[in-house]
Amino acid sequence: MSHRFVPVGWTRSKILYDAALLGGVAAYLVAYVRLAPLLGATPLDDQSLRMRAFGSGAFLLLTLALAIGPLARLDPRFLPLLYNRRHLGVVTCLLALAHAAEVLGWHFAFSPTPGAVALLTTEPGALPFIAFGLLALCVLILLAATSHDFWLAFLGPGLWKGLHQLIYLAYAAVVAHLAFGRLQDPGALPLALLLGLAVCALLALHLIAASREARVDADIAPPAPVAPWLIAGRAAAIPEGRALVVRPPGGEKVAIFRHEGRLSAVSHLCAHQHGPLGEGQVLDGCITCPWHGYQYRLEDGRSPPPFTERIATYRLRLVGGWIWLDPRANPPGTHVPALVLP
Amino acid sequence: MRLRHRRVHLLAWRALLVLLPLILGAALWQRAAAPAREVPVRIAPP
Repeated sequence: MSHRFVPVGWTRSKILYDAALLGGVAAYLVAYVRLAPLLGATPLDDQSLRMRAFGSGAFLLLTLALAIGPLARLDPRFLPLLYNRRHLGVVTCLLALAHAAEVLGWHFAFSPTPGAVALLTTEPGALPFIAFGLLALCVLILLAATSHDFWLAFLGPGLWKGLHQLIYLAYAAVVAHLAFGRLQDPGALPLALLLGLAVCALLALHLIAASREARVDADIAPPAPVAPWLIAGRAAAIPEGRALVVRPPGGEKVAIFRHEGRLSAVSHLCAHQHGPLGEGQVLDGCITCPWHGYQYRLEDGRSPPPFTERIATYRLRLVGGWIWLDPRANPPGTHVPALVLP
Repeated sequence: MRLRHRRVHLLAWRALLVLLPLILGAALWQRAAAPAREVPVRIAPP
């Protein structure tokens, strides 16, 4: 969190995550270089093998990075993968850069034309594949360079999130790069199957998760008899330490937490990356975001000192066992007394 | 995620649902239309 600047706030979880990530990538690269010559019909030199190992590794990691979001929404057991996804994205970019370096070193090593110029003016097929690869690489570099809390704070979570949604463009460009490039070579059938399978699986995951969320988003809280209050739900339906997520008409969602016989309402959006606070739980007396563990006090939506994040709070009423919510957000960090349950 | 970002997210995946099969279809068409490329071989410098 944000009380002082540190380049990377290392924790045991992050170290384990990165160790598993780097170990997995190294194992994949070694396995590819050793096994691909045995499986492929055409003999390849070492540099070509490395080029393909880095490229396919980057594609698989990018597919994994894009699959983590819907997996975590469909099953909370995948949430630990989301915790440090940015490092996964940076490693993907490094693999893509290594792939590009190998390409320049192989195809244009003895060219009288500078490598970058030759790369931009050479397209072997009717459909361009180098241009798509370059587009994807540029997007990956931009996203990796801004994958840091400094840029998140500098741009604000809304703009940062919007910028990082360029990853979908990068994915389409990577698929085009593979489809118009490597798939045109003889003996690319295993890659074609892998590509088709990865794309279908990713699309299916995102569509299933999105349709489930669309159903929740469509559930708008009805108005109470007294304006501007809304009927949020039954107090008894909220488990201890968890939240009921309510969507006011035309507004962002609100999370109503129950903790030790009291109810408190705060914004559903974490101040860090707009993570879904209402899917988190109360730990050590604080609302804890399920994405990266940012914490907020129930009564005022402020992070415990020395941290400085704040989220909006809301007023609640209890009428005959039903929770009424005032959908007008208080300024972030405003103290609202918790609603005591009878 | 803000509702605005969720809408962009959903729109992006709907676009990809159309775009990715189109890309794969175009790749298959190019492969069928053109003779198969040879895997390039390293040529020693002069």
